Amino acid sequence: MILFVLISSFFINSISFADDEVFSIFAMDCVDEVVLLDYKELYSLESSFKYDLSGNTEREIFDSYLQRFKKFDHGRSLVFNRWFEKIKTKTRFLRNVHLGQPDDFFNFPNWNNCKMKVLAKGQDINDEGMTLTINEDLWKKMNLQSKVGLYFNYFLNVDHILHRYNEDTERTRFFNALIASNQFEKIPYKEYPKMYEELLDFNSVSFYGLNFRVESFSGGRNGRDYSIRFNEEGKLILGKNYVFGYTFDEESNTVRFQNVPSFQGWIYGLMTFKYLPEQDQKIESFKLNKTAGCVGPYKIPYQAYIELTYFLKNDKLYLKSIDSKLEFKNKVYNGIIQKNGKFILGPQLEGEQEAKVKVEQCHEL
Amino acid sequence: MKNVIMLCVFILISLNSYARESGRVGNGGGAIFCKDGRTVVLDFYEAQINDLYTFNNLKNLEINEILDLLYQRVDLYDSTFSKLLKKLTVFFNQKKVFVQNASFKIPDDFRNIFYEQSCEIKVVAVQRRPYVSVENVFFIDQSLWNQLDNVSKAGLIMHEILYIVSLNLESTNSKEVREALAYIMSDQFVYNELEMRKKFFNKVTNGGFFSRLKPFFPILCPRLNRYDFVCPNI
Repeated sequence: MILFVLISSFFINSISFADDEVFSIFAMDCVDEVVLLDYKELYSLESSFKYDLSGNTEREIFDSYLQRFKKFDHGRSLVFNRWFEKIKTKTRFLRNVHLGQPDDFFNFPNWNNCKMKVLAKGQDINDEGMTLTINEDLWKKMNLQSKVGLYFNYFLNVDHILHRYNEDTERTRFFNALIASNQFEKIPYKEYPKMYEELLDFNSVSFYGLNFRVESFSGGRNGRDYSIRFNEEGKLILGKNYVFGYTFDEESNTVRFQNVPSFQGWIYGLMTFKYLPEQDQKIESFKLNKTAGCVGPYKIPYQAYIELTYFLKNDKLYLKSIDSKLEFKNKVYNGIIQKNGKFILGPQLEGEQEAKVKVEQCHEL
Repeated sequence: MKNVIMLCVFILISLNSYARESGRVGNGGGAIFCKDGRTVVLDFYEAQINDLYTFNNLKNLEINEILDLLYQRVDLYDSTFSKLLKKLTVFFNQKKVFVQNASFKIPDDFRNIFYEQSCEIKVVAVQRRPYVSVENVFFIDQSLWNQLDNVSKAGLIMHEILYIVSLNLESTNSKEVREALAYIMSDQFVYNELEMRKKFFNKVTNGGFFSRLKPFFPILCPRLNRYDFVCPNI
């Protein structure tokens, strides 16, 4: 008997969670179907919103999700893709178990003949062991769309709840249904920052291959002194920001350029990000890491702060020029530029010029 | 100077209230549904009991005629306000959606309302701030709406357009709006500037720091912009 109690208590402990490390994903158990709450809340309330992600398998539907999300947040779409590949190994299904009472911020309608239930509990996917626990009895009654929607909800809330400390999932549920709907493409770019800051409360922005983490100086949630803006073509424009490298691939903070494969950098500290015409972007104060490598025949030293300009082609990042003054063999040059496809030193600067970055001849070539 | 101070106060308040909304509070327009078939919009029902107001002048009017009466009476005091309400009515019709197979939760400010035992209080319409412009703003319980007479339907529309003003001037519930609407639409209404300010304008504008609506526009209109609504160019 004692053994039975011990085993039971161990089992119960193993499937209960600390409140601050877990969030819930909900389903509406209606007479004829079980549907993800996110979808029920939006599509049943707003008849003009309809689910329209395509695909016949979980993978295909998730790819449709990512295709849309990529336009909005390229960096996170890469993360979510990787998470989707590994979530199956971190999911456990439980039968005949209640996952607790629904406790969140819910919208105003009470849907006839439906009962809200906790469908799943999510913990940080980066934690050890199983991090997504699903009520298998509900899961089996859901269609493929709701199942994939559950995963997307989970990925959004790992960041929104566990990393950003939001208290409820109302806004991420809305976003999850919104991005899967026929209305998402109709949202003008000017509303993207609003979705970013107010809906998701994600504190990073990504732009094609680059990701930036944006933090306010004050650190207060209401004291944001950064501005995230998109121009009319949907290009991201940032003012002055406090920016850190965003480790979107979880393994490296580095930024690499297609046309200079040995050269890589780590964005660090206070920097500015300027929007330039014709897709060129200028980065200032770019701190390089140990494997800085070479740009053309010039080796950029470890831990140098430089300014550079890059451009984007087919979603890939290309270095256009290095704009900082450089010292090479006791002479000062105005950066590194491209000429006939090769990187060469810019014009030599006469007079008393002080260069902060000393470059050397690259011996890797 | 007064305007500048007011502006600063509102900006401070708005920074807090808009920076991080934890969920959207939908607030409701209610009505009383009685077993004998009577349906009365809550604003008028409360005023009949509390203030002994009557609304016989509305009985034979169409919805549009009742709305016109509101614009005319508001216009006596503030033509800008009247124009805004006209435009908000158009906005209401564009941004409303009828909801089926659901009932709406009763908001907290309905909890202390007295009503007859043979009647029920129900939420017929709810408005909430949209996150994105493609969303609707006003949600109406289709089955309840179908049971209402013209006076109650018009009453609900007027309630919603007044409440969107009040909500965006920091009101936390619709009690004052219900009182203001009942006053201005009642048979007992006789235009008097002081009464109008006290019983209507101050209640809708959450205290009425200014005596007319236009000085509120720098605060109100950017907020309404977030609903995809543009204030009239006055």
